[in-house]
Amino acid sequence: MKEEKTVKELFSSYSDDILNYSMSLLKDSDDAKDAVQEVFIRFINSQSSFRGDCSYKTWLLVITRNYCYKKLNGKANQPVLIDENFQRTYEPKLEEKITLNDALKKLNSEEFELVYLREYACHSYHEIAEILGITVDNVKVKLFRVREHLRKYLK
Amino acid sequence: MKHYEYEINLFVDGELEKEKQSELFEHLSDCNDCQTLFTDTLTLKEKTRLFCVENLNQIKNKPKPASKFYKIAFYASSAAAVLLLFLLITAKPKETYITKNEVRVDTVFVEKEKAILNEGNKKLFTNTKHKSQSSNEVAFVNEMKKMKTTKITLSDLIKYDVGS
Ligand SMILES: [Zn+2]
Repeated sequence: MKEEKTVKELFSSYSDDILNYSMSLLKDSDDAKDAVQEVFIRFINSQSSFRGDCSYKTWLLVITRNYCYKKLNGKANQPVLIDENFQRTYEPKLEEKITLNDALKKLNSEEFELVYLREYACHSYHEIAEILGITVDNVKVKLFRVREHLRKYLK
Repeated sequence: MKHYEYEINLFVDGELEKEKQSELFEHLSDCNDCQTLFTDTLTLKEKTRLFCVENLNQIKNKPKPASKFYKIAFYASSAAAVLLLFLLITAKPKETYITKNEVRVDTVFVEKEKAILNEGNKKLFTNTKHKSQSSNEVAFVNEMKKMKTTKITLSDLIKYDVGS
C-alpha cells in the first residue's frame, strides 16, 4: 500500500536520518548536507518509479546510499559482497592493547555501515537488507561475524 | 553442549523468533558462558552506538576551510577596504561616498545571495504532492536529463521553481 506524503513531510521526518547516514559514509558534514539536497532532488525526479514495495524511509536511504557511493567511487554502488570466509588483515596480538574504539575505527567501510545501520540508526534486519541490497540471512551472518570480531576487544 | 551465540545475537536485536526465545532462556538459565556472552553483546552494542555518536559528532565539528565564495568575498572586501582607506586619505568627499556605496552594494549582494538560498530551500520542500508533478517540475527534470550531469545547483531549482 502506498501512503501519500508530501515531500515536506518526508523531509521533516527523514532529513536527519539521511544527513547522518550520508555523514557516516562520506565522513564530511558539508558533503552530507549536499547529499540531503541531492537525495531529495533525485527523489522528486524518480517519484513515478516508486512502486511502494518498501517504505519511503527505506527508499530514501537507498537513494542516499547510491548517491554517496557514487560520490565516493565515481560509480554506482555494488551490493555488499557476501564473503563468508572473510580474512582480517589484522588480528589481536596479546602484547598489544587494542581498544574497542581502535577496532571500530579499523572496520572496513561495509562493516562500519552495517554496524551504523543497526546500532546507531536502529534499523531492523529487514530494512538493512533492503538498504544494502542483500538478504536478511546475510545481514544476520555478517552482523554476527562483525560482533564476534569486536567482542575480542571488549575487555 | 550447544551454545547460543547466534541466537543471543539475534535476540538483542529483537530478531529472534518467539518460538526460539524460550529455548534460549532455558539455556541461559544454566550456562554461564552464554550469560557472559549475553551481557557482553549488550555492552558491545551500547559501546558501538556511543562510538557512532562520537564519530558523527567529530565529523560535524570538524573545522572547515572557508568556502571559495567566502574566500573571494573576503578578498574582494579586503581590497575594497584598502581602496576605501586609500580614498579616505587621498580623495575628495564625493569619491569616498561612491566607494562606500560600492562596498554597501557588495554587502547587499551577499545578503541577497543568502535570501535566494533560503528561498530555494523553502520552495523545494513545500507543498509537493507525490504523483502530481507540476509542469515546472517536469521542465526541471527534463532539463536535468539534458544536462547529463549529477551536479544540480540551487539556482537550477530556483530557475524551474521546483516544488512550488
Ligand atoms: Zn551456552
